[in-house]
Amino acid sequence: MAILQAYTNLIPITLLQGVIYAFVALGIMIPFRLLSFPDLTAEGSFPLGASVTAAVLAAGAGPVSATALAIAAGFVAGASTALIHRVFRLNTLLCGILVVTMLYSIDIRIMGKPNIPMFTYDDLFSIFLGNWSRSLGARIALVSAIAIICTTALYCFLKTEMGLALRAVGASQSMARAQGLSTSYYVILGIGIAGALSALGGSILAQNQSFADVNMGFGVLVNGLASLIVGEQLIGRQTLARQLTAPLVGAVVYYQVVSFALALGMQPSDLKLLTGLFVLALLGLPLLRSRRTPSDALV
Amino acid sequence: MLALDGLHKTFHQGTPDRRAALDGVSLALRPGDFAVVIGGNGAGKSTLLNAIAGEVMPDEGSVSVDGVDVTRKPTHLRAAWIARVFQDPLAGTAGTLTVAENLSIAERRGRRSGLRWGLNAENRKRYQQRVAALGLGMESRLDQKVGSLSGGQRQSLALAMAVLTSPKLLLLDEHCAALDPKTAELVMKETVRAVDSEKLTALMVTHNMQHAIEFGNRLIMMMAGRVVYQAEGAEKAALTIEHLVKRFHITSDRMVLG
Repeated sequence: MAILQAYTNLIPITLLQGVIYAFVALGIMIPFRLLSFPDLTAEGSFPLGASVTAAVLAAGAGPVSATALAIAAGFVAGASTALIHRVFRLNTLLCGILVVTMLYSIDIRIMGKPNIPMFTYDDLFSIFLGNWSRSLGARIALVSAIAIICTTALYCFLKTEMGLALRAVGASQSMARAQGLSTSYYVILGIGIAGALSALGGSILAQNQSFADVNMGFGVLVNGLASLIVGEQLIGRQTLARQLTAPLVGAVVYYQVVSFALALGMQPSDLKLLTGLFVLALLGLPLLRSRRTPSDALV
Repeated sequence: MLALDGLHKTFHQGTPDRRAALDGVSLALRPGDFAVVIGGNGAGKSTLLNAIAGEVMPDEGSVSVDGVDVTRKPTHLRAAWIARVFQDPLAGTAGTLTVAENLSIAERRGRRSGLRWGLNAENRKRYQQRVAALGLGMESRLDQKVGSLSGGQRQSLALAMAVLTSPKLLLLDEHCAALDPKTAELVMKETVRAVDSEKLTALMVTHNMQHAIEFGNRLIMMMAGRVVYQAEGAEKAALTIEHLVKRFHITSDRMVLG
């Protein structure tokens, strides 16, 4: 009973956490599912979003412009990864690692130090929620509204001519080229949008906890992947609407599961190991099953 | 319509694997020409097609389409003039998009994409009729993902996409080779119908001798990166498989002995 109590008490907090990380899951879905461009820039664009938000707020600007600049910075980070890949033809994951590593220094440059407390500044919650800004329910509602707006906007975009083109580039580059689509343009655009979403997640998290830290991106990629996979198991990915809803639902469910596991007594420091094994199992087992001979597995 | 002038392309230049895939190919297609390219493995057919499409940049020579020099243009900038059907049905269509969405992209081939809806009531209706005309029972599958279609349906769709907006030049890259014989005949029939009714200029690479004899007004035989035989008009019409096989054997013997 005490376990259940400990879990239910935490539901509002973990629900808010889940909705915030939904942006990262959505951002990860684009490269992995729409563009066939395995990318881990999210690990860097997430703290970048937080850093830019904190620095802009510290400089005296309002939270809306701080969030907007965080989104723009995330777009540039994602686009850089894609651009490096298109120019040098390096492996996409290596391009992401390079960008994430460089962003660490850039974040500290932006903030002037490794972290910034933001307790004294206005944030999205205080200006949109006013007196309700301390209420977890109101915060959940606001972040959910932003998440739904972003998902809907992304859905609409993917149904436009440009959106179809972007998805075609992900499906078949030879087809896309033959139809006159610049694959570089759409890959850069798509990975840019993904970076923007992750940065928005970082920005909102920083504003929620009134604290930005250069290390806050550690592990977000694997958590986001886990969320995406959970969501796809529950919602499916047969249609575009399902594919876009899956990361949202997945993030919310995933963080509830994690919270429950912690309530059961799991060590928080074991979380990354277990999440990693979980992602490995869900991604790896189907691949293992589809291989005919053991020797194939080594290739 | 298509003019190739002295195309050279050598792969693995400066290594022991050096291979001249195109060794001075010049060719001119007139508007309405339907040229069929045949030749053994390594004859340079694919490289020729890729050089025209923009996937391969020639070391020397030029490619122009409808009077425009496109030699230095990448594939996607040639798409305004050139449509291509690949051998692999998966290569020419986007499996995660629906039939209608694929057609929408094809209809805007070589044009800018904007933020208008990709599909609307008006273009959907047109695609519906297009797809119905293929006679493969796909008219009810307009909103299904192309990945759920059979290889034959997918290739018919790829062909429909290529000819949707009457390209200046249609490239057919052994587009029936990966299909079962019955579907191959169906797709070939549809190809001829489209080329004739839209008066398209087409270049088809094939391994199928019967197709080479039966279709097109020009025949081009390649060997070791060169055009070694051309026939058109009455000469082409008088060709028989036996005649061609004989020539093929001579050329491949020559390749082996030479």
